[in-house]
Amino acid sequence: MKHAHPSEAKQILRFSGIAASRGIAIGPAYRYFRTLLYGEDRDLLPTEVAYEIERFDGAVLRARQEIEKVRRVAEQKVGVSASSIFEAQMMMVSDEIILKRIRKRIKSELKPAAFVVDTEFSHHQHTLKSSENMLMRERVDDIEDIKQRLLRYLLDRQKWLSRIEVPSILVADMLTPADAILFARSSVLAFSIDSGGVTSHVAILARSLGIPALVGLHSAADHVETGDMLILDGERGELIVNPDEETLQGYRQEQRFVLASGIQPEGRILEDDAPVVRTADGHPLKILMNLEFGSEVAIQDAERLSETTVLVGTDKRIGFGLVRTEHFLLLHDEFPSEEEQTVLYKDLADRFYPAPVTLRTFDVGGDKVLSGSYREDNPNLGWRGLRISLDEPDLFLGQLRACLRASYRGNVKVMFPMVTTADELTRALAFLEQARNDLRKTSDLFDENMPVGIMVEVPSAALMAETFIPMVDYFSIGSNDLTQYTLAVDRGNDLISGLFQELHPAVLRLIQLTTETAKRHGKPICICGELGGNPLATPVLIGLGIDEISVAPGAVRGLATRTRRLNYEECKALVQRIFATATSGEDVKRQVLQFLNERELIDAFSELNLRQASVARLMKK
Amino acid sequence: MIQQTVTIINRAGLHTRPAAAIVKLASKFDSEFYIVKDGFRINGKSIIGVMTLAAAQGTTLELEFDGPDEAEAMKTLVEYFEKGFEEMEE
Repeated sequence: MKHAHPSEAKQILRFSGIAASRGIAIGPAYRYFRTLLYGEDRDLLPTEVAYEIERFDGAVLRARQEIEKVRRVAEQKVGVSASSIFEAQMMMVSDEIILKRIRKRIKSELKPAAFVVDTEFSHHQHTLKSSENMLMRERVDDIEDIKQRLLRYLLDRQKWLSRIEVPSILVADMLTPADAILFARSSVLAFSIDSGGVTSHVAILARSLGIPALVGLHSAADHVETGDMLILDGERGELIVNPDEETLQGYRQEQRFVLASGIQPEGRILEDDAPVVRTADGHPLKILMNLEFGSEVAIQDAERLSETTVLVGTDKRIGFGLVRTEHFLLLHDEFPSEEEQTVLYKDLADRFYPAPVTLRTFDVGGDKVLSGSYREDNPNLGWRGLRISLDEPDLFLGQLRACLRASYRGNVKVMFPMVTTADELTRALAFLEQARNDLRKTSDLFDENMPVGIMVEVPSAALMAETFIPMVDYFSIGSNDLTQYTLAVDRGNDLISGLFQELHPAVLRLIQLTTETAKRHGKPICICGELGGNPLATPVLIGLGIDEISVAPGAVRGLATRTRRLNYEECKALVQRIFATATSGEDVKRQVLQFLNERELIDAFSELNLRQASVARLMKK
Repeated sequence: MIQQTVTIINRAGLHTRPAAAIVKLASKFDSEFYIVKDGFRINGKSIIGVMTLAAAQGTTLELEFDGPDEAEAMKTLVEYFEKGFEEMEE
């Protein structure tokens, strides 16, 4: 791409950085400045010491409370593994060795707390900075975060602003993990950060959040002002400031093939992008959306996309294959009451009627329910998802009644996460029956035939699909967890993220088993994990006979376009070949690439993934 | 006081996660625990101190223990280092 002829008033600028989180974002810049605070040197009177130490202890306490709050938000948004970054921060701010030394120095040197905090932490940062190890150098930012937090309380400064009103690309020279999490609660399209590397905590969080991000841009932020038009290319690692129309067009095209969340769909999309798209040989595929966040902005984005795809002469709209109800939690920071949930779900079901709205019951970790400091050694294998719901009957029944009330027009489906054994499902269904009975007693309106399904995301559920299928109306495959549990890889863990291969034959076999079981019983099979948006997965999923694919709103067009260019019979043959010969996820990728190459589809399908491979290699280092 | 030399064997080195784990392990014991690297000595019960070591793969560290349960503390900590902080690839 080389068409950088200067256009209007503003000059095109290009900066190379490290692609830390995939995706392409186009939008205005939001230039984020964070003033670094310093502790001034002055002498204390001996009588001031006690008060100064008291203030210091107060600052430590507040820092702990705020980090804990951010940690809880992070855990909801990015999961337990990535949120452990904040656990380490909590340990840092509770480091008694350092805290004692600071108190001692305030007393012996007669210096204000802010000055001692500044010098003490800066000393440690300085030592780290001199390290030749990249991984270690990045930890300087973590210490900076703690230091700034303490200084902010000690100097009575305002809370940092961490909200964006207009959907924007955040541009900063540095961003702390806490900033990243808090900004992700408002409409940030992407992060462009001058400092850091692929293993920096901000990079890890951006990947977990699914927000495109560039890091290591050096001094790009100096050349960007709020409102400048930007293209952030998280595939090639490039930031383009004030792009010309031609470049913009090129990137808009490309966005179709990239799973990039948070990008506002605009304008009317093609007729063929209607709920059912067909392959070149007429095989139907139903396309649905995932509602990742419960914010009004996210819902409005989805609504706009849904409305623009109304087929002329029909009332078909794109519905939701997955609504993560636990994200309604974030807005309140606690479980919404049954009444609040009823309002939320009803609103959603009404706005998207007659399109289906699939509500997945709360899928959270144990800490949301357990107050206090209970921590599990292995939360991914612990008390989460349906397991919690079954142990908390009031919470579960309240949610089920809310879902049922929202179903009164007949377009709501319910689905249970993390089902592992048939016994769990039996109990969940009994709760659902009890919820129905409660509503019958109060004469509430609801859909007696509201479809119920399970997420197949634990290998045991896939292997026991034959046992589960008679009990439910549909299956939905959660490819992220299914991959994680099948390959025993935590994809948030940078050291092993290369082993997270969602196209691994082992994962595909479980998907095949689940799909064939559902089809044998004449029940629909959906896939709602990230695999659905992966361009290389499209021919495989179609070949496997998946009926419905649910993807992030930004990925809908790409999926529809790809589907139309494929041939179902050929995809079936591809899948057969994969099962006969493929030995690894890389091997599957190669076979798909070859398949696309033979059909001259390689540009449309694989270009971006090839580039992603280089990102993956970078991440391994 | 007793001491032992250990080498960092995992690829990622002594980064945040193992630093936190070391501090947690060390805090279970009453004995004092210091880590020495190139003459630079830090308190092993301070996470910021341990992180500041910036010990990459291949670095040799001296572990020092002093106190009533020093033998047991040394056994536990040395074992954790020798396991590569439980990050070794199979």
